[in-house]
Amino acid sequence: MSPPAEAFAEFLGPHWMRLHATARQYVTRPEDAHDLVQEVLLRAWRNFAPTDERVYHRAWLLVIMRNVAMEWRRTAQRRIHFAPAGDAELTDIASADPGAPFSALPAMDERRFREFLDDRIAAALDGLEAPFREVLILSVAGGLRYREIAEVLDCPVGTVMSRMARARRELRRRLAEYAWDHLRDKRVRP
Amino acid sequence: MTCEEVREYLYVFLDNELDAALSIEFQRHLERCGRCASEVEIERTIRRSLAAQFDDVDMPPLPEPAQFLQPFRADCVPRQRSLSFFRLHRRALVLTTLVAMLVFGAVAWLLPRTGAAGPTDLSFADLVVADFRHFLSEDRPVQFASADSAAVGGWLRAKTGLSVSMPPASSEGCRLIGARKCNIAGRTAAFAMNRIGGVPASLVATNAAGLEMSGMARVKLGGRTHWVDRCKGHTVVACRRGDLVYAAVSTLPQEKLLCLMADATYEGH
Repeated sequence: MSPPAEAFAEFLGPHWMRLHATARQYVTRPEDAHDLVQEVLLRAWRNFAPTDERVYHRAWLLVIMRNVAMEWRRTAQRRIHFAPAGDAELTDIASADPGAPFSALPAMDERRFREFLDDRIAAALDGLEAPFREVLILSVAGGLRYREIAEVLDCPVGTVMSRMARARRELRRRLAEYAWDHLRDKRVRP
Repeated sequence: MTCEEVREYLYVFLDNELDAALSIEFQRHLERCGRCASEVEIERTIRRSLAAQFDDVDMPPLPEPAQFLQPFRADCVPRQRSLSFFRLHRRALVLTTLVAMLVFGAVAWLLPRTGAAGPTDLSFADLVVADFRHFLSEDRPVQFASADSAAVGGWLRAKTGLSVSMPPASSEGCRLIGARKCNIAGRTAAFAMNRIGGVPASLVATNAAGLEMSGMARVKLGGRTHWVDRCKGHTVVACRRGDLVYAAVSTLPQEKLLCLMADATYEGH
């Protein structure tokens, strides 16, 4: 194997799990996620030049992944899970009231709360608007810092911060709604 | 910090993106406010559950390097950047540097004859402060951006050939930004940029052999000798570890830099 291929494989090692986890959030089916990762690897490999002293980061791979996912969506070849909105659209929805109280969750013991979360968090995540869901994906699945997320999304760090706050608040609100419904359905008093 | 501020900073805090000073205030508030502490615990539980969703992925194993590129077509080779704009730019830079070095050499040769101070008269503190200011004034990007001290140390070792180890960046509110290779008085040096409470602080390491630190005051801390100096409004704290001299530079007071230098868990030496 040629030295660049070896260096490329070495570079990928620490990012392998995050790459797949993130791909699974961009496309719905596991086989599509596998194809998405393959396409990202192919494009990354074509642009990989370890001799030019560039330092490669996970954010670089996720920029490529996002671009591929966008292309697939545009060409309607794949069913993509999210639909990023334009900047104009984001201006209105990115403003969150950071000091607002949190949505109240009913009192549950820790075990019940965890079981409930495991059941409902995917649905709550899916229900988020695309730009908010994406910052969460890049942070939690992609393991990126705010600065790196800003790089992937090509937006200011402040925008990432406001979207992140909004995303987590919205997630919390949805979970609170589910939790109250869950308790009502089971006729269990909080 | 008030409850409202805690709500404002909650997610930034949980994502480890909050400024060190505010993080301390945040934690202090949690120690005395049960309601906010409970909210933070709920958010932590939600975060753990969210993270578990992403971890639970049916992931194929990372292929062995030998099979790694098999699915790719044979013509898929890394792009050659033989004459890219970057390279052209770099060549111009090298040429300019050579010319500058020639001019600098001529000036250095002439200066002692005119009674002015030559570059060899600069102290170690002068040099590291100049390097620190140079980094900030030109906003030179770090070549390797990471807050992981082990990763930064590894990168610097590979780049400079110096057995550098970075102190844990999380200690004393210090946040590691990244690193670059640099040069101090003709010596290869490792340069790491940190922020202590939001204020930039560099940590430079270079070979100790023949390095003169006379003129700097000696301070004993944790059984180790440190050298301290003030230069152009900056504090310099230096310490020898093994074959290397480490120097921390910042506008911060001496105690802050001594804490950075004298971390008890500082590995490698």
